[in-house]
Amino acid sequence: MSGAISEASTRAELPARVHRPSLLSLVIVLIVGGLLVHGWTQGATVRPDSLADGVFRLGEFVEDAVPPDVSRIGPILKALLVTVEMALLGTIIGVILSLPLAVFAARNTTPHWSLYGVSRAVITVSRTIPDLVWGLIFVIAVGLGPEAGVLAITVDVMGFCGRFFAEAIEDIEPGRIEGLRALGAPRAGVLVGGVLPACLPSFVTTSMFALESSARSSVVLGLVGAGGIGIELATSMTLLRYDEAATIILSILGVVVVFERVSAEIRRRVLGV
Amino acid sequence: MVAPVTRTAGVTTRADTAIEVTDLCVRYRRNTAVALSGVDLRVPDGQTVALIGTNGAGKSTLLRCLVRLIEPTEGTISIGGAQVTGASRRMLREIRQEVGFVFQRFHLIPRLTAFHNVVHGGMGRHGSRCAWPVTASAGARRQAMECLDRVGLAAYAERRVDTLSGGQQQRVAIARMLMQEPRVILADEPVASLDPASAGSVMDLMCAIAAERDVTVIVALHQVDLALRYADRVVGLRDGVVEFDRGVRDCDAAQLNSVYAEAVT
Repeated sequence: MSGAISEASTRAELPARVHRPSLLSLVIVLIVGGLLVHGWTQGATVRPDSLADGVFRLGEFVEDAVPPDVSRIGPILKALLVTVEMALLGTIIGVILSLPLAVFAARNTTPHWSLYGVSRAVITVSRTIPDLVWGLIFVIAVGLGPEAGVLAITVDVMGFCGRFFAEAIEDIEPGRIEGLRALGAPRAGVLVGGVLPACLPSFVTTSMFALESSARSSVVLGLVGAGGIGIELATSMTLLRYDEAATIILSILGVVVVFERVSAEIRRRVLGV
Repeated sequence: MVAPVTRTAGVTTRADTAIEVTDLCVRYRRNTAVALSGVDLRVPDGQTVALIGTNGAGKSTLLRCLVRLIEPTEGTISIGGAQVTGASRRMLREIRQEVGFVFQRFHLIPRLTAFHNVVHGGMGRHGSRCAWPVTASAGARRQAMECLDRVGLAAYAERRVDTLSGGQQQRVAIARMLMQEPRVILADEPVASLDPASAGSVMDLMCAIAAERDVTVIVALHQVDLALRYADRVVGLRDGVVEFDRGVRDCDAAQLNSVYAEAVT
């Protein structure tokens, strides 16, 4: 090593083929390795033998599930409709609440730094707690049923949209706001007349993404009793009625695909024009 | 086009002060170079002042300071007798609605129609109702259309401003400013991003409007020939200090060009 250094001063040295890893990457590798080993002892494993068994059992499930049982299609579609409506209402309320939240949480429009801090905190908390946990919390608050699901989706959307709306507002070219302030426009006028129209395309795309993810989470929310089709799915699964479960899963798939297509189309139109 | 001589004559008979600036200092952040240091300026009613100087000389800072888009560090400003420095937020809004500001990059709201942008000009007087044409009063809507007509763009009222050319956008911005019914116009390099033909038409329009309504104008310019053609008086800034200040008849192009020439070396 020392020889190489002294030589380097006299002539250009070929760079080493392999550099010694930095301390940081060593520590990261050690931590990740330690976690994986500990996880293996706790059952967080992927064993070839159980995998083989599992594939076989999955085959059984598919065998039971085909053909799907459509005898209860009426109640299933009803529950599905409620799920869609939960997603829709939750997203609409969430987006509406996100607007003032984002105005407070954007550096260039916030009326006061304390409001900025509070609204940022609200957004962070809404976003970091998973929607399923919000579902459990609201089931305690308002009881079992779709209302809890709507509230959970609302909070989830607030976390998502609040953050991205605020970022869109912060990205506005400052001159546009300055232009309106120079007119002597009141603060509300600047927001409604300038900030809102300038951010509208990005608000719409973000809301469409929120709608897509709410469609998915409203399905899952039923599992914790927060209304919608999730409870039907859980029941069919526990009663081992896999053919009925297949019908439910396929109809969920259909709805989520429709939501995604519609939102993609709206986004394309808004951004395209 | 406006004949500057007649306007200057008009000013001498009625020398009310439109803008008075004393000892204005601006420092952007602590310990950095000053943007303005000790600027004094008195502009009588109805005068057109051209502000020239290199980039970073403080032209934009001075103009923005006049309506406190940038907060001055020291000094006092009054516009039409009203104290700008120390004014409350409400007072400041009242002052701003009397002052039309024209920006280099137009600063219109894109995606909105020309008409909508002009209606915004009424927000100072009519409040947030004028944020959208739907809620604006019939009078305000009619006035906005007249303003667009005055700048020759009535046919483009329903067009989105981001589909208009640069010269047309600047004319929409002037229509928006007209909608304010300003007593003072501040223009920050209004033609710097336009081709010479559009630049000429925008300057003609702005000065014609100023003459019609007897409005005081301060315009920051890079083009010495435009300054000599349109202004009554030329103020040169260098490094945040007023370097010279005289009537347009006492200036010649070579003298003004030297402001730029010396700065380069």
